[in-house]
Amino acid sequence: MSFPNQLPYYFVDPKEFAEVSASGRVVKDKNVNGIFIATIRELRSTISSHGRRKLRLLNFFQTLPLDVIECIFGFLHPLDLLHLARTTKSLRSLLFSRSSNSIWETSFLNHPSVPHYPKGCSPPRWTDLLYGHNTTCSFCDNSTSISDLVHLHRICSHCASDVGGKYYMLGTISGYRVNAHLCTVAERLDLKSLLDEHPEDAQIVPSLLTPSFPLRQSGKASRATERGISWMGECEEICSTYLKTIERAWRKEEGAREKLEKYLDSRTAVVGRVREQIPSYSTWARQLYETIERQGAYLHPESWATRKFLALGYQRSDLLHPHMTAWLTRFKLERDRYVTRTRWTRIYNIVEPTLQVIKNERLLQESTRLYNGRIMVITRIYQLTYLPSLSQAQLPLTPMRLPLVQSRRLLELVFGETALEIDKDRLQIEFPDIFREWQQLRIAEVALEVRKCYPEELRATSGRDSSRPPQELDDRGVLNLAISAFTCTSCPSISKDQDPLLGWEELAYHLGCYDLDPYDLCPSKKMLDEATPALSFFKSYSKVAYDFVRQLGLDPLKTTARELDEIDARFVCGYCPITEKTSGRKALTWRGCIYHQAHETSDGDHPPNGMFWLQLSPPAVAAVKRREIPDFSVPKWLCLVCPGDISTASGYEALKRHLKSNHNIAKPLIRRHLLNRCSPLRKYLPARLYESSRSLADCKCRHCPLEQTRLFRKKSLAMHLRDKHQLLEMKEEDSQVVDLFVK
Amino acid sequence: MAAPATQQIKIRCNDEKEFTVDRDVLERSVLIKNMLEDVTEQQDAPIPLPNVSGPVMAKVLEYCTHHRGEPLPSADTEQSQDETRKRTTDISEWDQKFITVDQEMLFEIILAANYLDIKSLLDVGCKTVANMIKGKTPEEIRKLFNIVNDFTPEEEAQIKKENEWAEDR
Repeated sequence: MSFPNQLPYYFVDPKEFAEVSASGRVVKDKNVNGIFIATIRELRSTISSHGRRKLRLLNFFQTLPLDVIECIFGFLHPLDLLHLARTTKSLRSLLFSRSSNSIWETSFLNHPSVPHYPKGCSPPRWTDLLYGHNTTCSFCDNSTSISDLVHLHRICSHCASDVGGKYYMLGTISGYRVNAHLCTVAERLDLKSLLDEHPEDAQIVPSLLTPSFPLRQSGKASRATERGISWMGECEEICSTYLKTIERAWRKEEGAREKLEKYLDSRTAVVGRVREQIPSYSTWARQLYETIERQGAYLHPESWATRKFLALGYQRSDLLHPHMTAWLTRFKLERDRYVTRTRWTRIYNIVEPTLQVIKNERLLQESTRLYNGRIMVITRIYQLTYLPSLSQAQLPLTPMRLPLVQSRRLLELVFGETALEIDKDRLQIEFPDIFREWQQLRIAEVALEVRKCYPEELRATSGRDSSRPPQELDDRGVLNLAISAFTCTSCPSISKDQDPLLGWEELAYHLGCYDLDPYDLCPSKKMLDEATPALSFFKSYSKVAYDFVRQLGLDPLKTTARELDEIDARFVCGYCPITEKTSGRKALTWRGCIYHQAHETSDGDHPPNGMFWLQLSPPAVAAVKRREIPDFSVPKWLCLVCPGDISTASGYEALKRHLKSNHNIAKPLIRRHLLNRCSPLRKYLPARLYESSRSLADCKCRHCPLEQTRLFRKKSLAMHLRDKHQLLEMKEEDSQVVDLFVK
Repeated sequence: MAAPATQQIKIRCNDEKEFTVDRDVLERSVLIKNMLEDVTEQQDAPIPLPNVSGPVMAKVLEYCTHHRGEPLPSADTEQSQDETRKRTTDISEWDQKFITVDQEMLFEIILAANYLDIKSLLDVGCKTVANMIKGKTPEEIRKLFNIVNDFTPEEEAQIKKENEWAEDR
């Protein structure tokens, strides 16, 4: 007997054929070149001779090309894929591999009714959350949990209400905001008493199936048929309308505020009507759950029909819903023998539409309940526990003004005595929006306080200019001026040098508006109400600044500090003495000029009336800027090498050590390895400009490009011209004498 | 002059069974179509199809004969289909009757359609298998395809909880 060189199924594991021999009759293996193997054809003939024996599907999945498998699986519902993955290990490893993402993707595309999986969630996980009937809580072993489609886990009611569940709370941070007007509106709708007296009623969610509840009368068209009220959702909706109205009022639209009042009145009326219905709702809900309990027996949890429904993505509670009872008791589903395949198709076709409504209703209720729960926790803490114990100065630390995570005191309240340690640096990087919002709130509040120190006469004449954008017209407007000079008498670092805080941003930085800690950058004062009396307007510096800005040819009553910062010019003092021993003249920023002028005038070194400033040309400014050294005395440096995690070192030297030991970077570069991120105004030690003298090289070659500026003495320039530019004789126009240069 | 549509082509299956079929029927298969285009001279020798058996080829030819004359999916339509990738599992009445065969034959047809590159037949086969799997519990799927459950009860309970990618676990 001869065999072909290569058998058609040579790649199939012979052991598998031996396994498939099933059905009581052993397939006789053939010994070919020492390998026991049976051809699939013989196997097939064996099987077909036994009637309806089936080949193992897996054999075919191993035989079929991958694109055919993908084609078959692509037609399946995601839940079917999940079920398929639970049949055998090999299918599970195939379907739960990232390389099979295209199969899932196709499946989701082919079933547009299934919501597409969100970013960051794997398709199998999403499918399980949507349709899976495993109800174990992700945080404890409680077996009665619901899917939280927002935070992508299953959570039981106990964990949801337990705000101490760190995972749950922290999971909500990223997309979570407490609306600023939530509490006001909740008070207007009289929800405080509801929260106090009937907390369970406050959990009422809209439901199409809830009887006797008034329909929503306004709001979005899609919600026109909803019954009942999501209390906190109602507050949120009103708040957003409230915010829009404020915007309209700002734009001076007529009747905006009246419109809001009218809207609030109408909503209060609806809420009132709903509250009247609450007792009847409670009775209905109690009866509903009693019925579910009583009727539970009609659907055996292990019956074939139940498993079939679960496989189709329904939950047992859907089947026990009173609306289904009438149908399902009729079909006697508790007994398997009544449900044949044909009968099942008929039953399913009848009950499917109602079941679908119930399922959608359930999903809606679950998500609303979770949303309500989260908002309610915050509102309660804010309204009932936290607010009365706070002073005015602590208000920025309450959730009304701030997302939950940033409030240290609130965290202590929520998480108990062991307060959760928040990594501020990480927070700043991971939640930049929250951080920016925090800064804006701080700045707004501090500006309001600081403005009180501002001289009335200046306020009357400056800062109000209709041509400027609106943000310049607010309370900070006058503080933004370059002539706004403040001093903090309680801070030794400021009073010692007598350097004022020029412009709003410098002041805000000093008062800690750019830090997360409560006003602790002003070292001696922790709270704003303590810090503001120490602030005073610095008249003498303001006058110096006034003169300086005027010398620049700008209007001192309109020029802001930010504008001067943006110009970012450098100046050299014309009165500073030039001797051979001096270490050059400082190229100063506009702030430096004001400090210098104030210091030197008061010391009597420079003439008191008027100063003589030289403004450097743009190429000279560029040369100066390249040689300016960041002021390393300013703390808070950031390691840019650490991925996501910030090193604890904050000083420059400490961070240098950190870079050396952790990242093996001996010579760190600013902006590449480390960054001074604390102050918005980067401080630099000024570069010095030197006067040319005989001992120094002072000539520049005119033939060299600008960026290769090199200074020569006369003799060496002649050599340079001869070597580099082949000019044997040096003429006058070949050299350019440099008066000031940066060293 | 004989029209190309009436040209008779011989094919030989792996069980030595031979079929003589009209060229336009055979050209439903992209594989055979390309082979015929490559062969310039008319040959009497049958085309060998070593991966298809006689009974399966008979079924495939039945399908091709019924769908003869229908436009073949061009590269453009295929591409647009791939772009939208929205496909339903609906099968026409005749196709449904045609594909009502035992499982063994069904998988043979799928394999043959894939080998012969008959896209429409492959789709019908895949849709049928998908419809067989749809709405079934893992247990029912195992029963349907006679798959042996290689999970222990503990593993089975565990896999219900683990729904992340294998690489992420």
